[in-house]
Amino acid sequence: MPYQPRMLLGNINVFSIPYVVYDLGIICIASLIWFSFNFIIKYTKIGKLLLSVINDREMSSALGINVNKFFIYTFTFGCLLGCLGGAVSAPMISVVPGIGVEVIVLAFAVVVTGGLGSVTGAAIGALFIGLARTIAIFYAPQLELFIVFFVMAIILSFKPEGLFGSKEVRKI
Amino acid sequence: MRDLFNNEKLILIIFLFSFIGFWFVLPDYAINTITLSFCNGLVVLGLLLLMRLGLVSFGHGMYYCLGGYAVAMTYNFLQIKEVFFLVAFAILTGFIVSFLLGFFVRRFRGIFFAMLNLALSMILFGIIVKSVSLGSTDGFGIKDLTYLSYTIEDQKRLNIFSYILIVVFTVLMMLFVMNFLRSPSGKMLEAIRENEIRSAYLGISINKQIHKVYIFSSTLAALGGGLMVILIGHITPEDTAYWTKSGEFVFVAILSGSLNVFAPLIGSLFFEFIRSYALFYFPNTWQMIIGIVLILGILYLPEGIGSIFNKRKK
Amino acid sequence: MLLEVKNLNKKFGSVTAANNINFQMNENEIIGVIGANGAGKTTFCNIITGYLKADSGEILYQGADITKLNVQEIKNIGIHRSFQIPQVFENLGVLENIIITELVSKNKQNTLFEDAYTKQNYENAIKLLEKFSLDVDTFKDKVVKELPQGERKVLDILIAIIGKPKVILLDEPTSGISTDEKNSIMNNILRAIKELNISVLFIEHDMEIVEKFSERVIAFYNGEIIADDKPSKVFNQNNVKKFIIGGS
Repeated sequence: MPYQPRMLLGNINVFSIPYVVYDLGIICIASLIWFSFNFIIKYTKIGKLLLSVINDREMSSALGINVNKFFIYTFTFGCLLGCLGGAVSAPMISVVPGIGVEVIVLAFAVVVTGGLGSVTGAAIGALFIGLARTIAIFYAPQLELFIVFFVMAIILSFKPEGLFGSKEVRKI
Repeated sequence: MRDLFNNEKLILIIFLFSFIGFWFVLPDYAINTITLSFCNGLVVLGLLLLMRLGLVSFGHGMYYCLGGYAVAMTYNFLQIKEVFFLVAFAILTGFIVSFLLGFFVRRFRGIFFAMLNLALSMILFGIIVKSVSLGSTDGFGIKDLTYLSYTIEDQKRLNIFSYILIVVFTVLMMLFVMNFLRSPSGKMLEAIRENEIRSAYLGISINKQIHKVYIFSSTLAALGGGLMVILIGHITPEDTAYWTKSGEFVFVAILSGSLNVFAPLIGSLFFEFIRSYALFYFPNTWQMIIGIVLILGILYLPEGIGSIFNKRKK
Repeated sequence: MLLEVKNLNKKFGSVTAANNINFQMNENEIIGVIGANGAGKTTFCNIITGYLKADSGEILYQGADITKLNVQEIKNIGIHRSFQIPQVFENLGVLENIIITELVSKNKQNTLFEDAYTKQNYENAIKLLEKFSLDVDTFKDKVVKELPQGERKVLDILIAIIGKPKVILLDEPTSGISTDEKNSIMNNILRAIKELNISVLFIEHDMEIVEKFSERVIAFYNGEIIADDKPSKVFNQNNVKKFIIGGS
């Protein structure tokens, strides 16, 4: 039997449905990241500075925030999360050089569905898209990507700024 | 060199005749690459129009696909073999579909516009793959064609007729786009890109203008797709509506920039030649070469290939 | 009556930006609007021009109801505006800004078969700059983003005047302009506007400017109009002194 790191932690019964412990672990990691992100953005100094940089770059730098540093940090952090996502999902999928491209298209769909700039939006968007995709794979495997974008188009036609996106009214 | 490019129409005429002249000089495989990149260049030309508006579409392959299928299906189901009819069908299909979808997409901007177009193109892909009557994953092929009732045999798909047809159509479209961008109507695009609020307060009906440009742009893409089928003789959904093809168009569009109408064609030629040479000499690493080219392009020509010929007026 | 606002209300969450506003404007009037920051002056402009929709109330223009029209439609019937933060085409040249505005005002949005940037159009744009007694050399051949804030502001107002407006709303026309220049700029603008028989409503914080240039002043406080009269009378009203001008 080949080496399968995903199965090393064994199975567990959740409401009498057998579930892989590793998958539960991923859910835990994701929730942890979601929770800490919301916490950092809402309640810490760094989070508030970050919001100010997002809202008005010029004003923030006038107030003495090192905007470039924030760009580098957020970019680095974003890449880090990308790496983490790849690392934890690697045991569940077949890893090939091109997987990044498939993922980025899905990630864009998730972000747009959830609404730009919202952590909760990304989480809920991912749930929507993920569930739609799973249902599609179960019932009609050829339509996998089709369903993903179909769900996205439907959601956007009712809520053009995404599920949790805020409508921007520019100050004039 | 830069002053020369101020007279764009003259350049366009030189462009037209030099490419017609290439038929007699260049070897067949080069001509083939040129013709194919002209077909793709038309799609990129359409993307240029959207870029002038400040929009990018990640799903222009949809119209490329629609144009191609319009040609292939008219040929197969209605037995029409006259090239000019087929091309007209491609244009008409692109026009009608983009007119209808335009009402939906014109409300969106930025990443939403881009992703929504991607979504639409993937939905089209899904529909085609799922329905056997639309050829499913196999697509359609076409055989003999007539050029104004002069029949050309199947084997010689790339012939002087198809070559001149494609070159002339492309140059004609470049002329249209060029004139459009210089006209008052084309200046509305710049206004909308620069400041939507002011544009609305000037009385520009923004959604209608975006709709108009969307139709124009999509029709160009459909024409590109139609000509591609006439050249290659076959169409499959994977090569057209799937998002990798749209991604390729956006790639070339970014590489070319939106400064002038020659850039999309030059960019497209550049891309096709790099790809065929890279595929030939470095079969396993050609994507890497394409990636390096894009990075170099962004670093040294941030406004795209077009900026070699003329700089945006300061 | 040119413009009439009846019982206008607007709330942003718990903030009342317009509280039962009634207002009338006659032809060729020059009205100054004063009020502290957040008193609802800009919101008032935004509602009249259709950028924001009122919660209730109606707006009449020459007797016709324009409450439900959008920004473009309101512009097309002759109500133009300038902005607190200049809204101009930053990456285009000054003359190109003017030319595009003129093309739209001539209803050439969909004109295909002519050039937009012709010599003729450039000359017209330069003539327009001259008409507003602006220094042509500082403006032409420049991209808007290279201009200092004050000149951008002037360009913004200039763009608002192009076309044939009946009413023009100027949102803080002199903010960001140095004190010495304020007077001359207001002079130039208002002179040009008067020649064209346009009614003006301008929001202003500088009381001297308001006193000097307006024939009538309305004062906003917490979304309400608390005074509406000749400048000398409004400035002497007790609540205006207390809430807006400061002092006793």
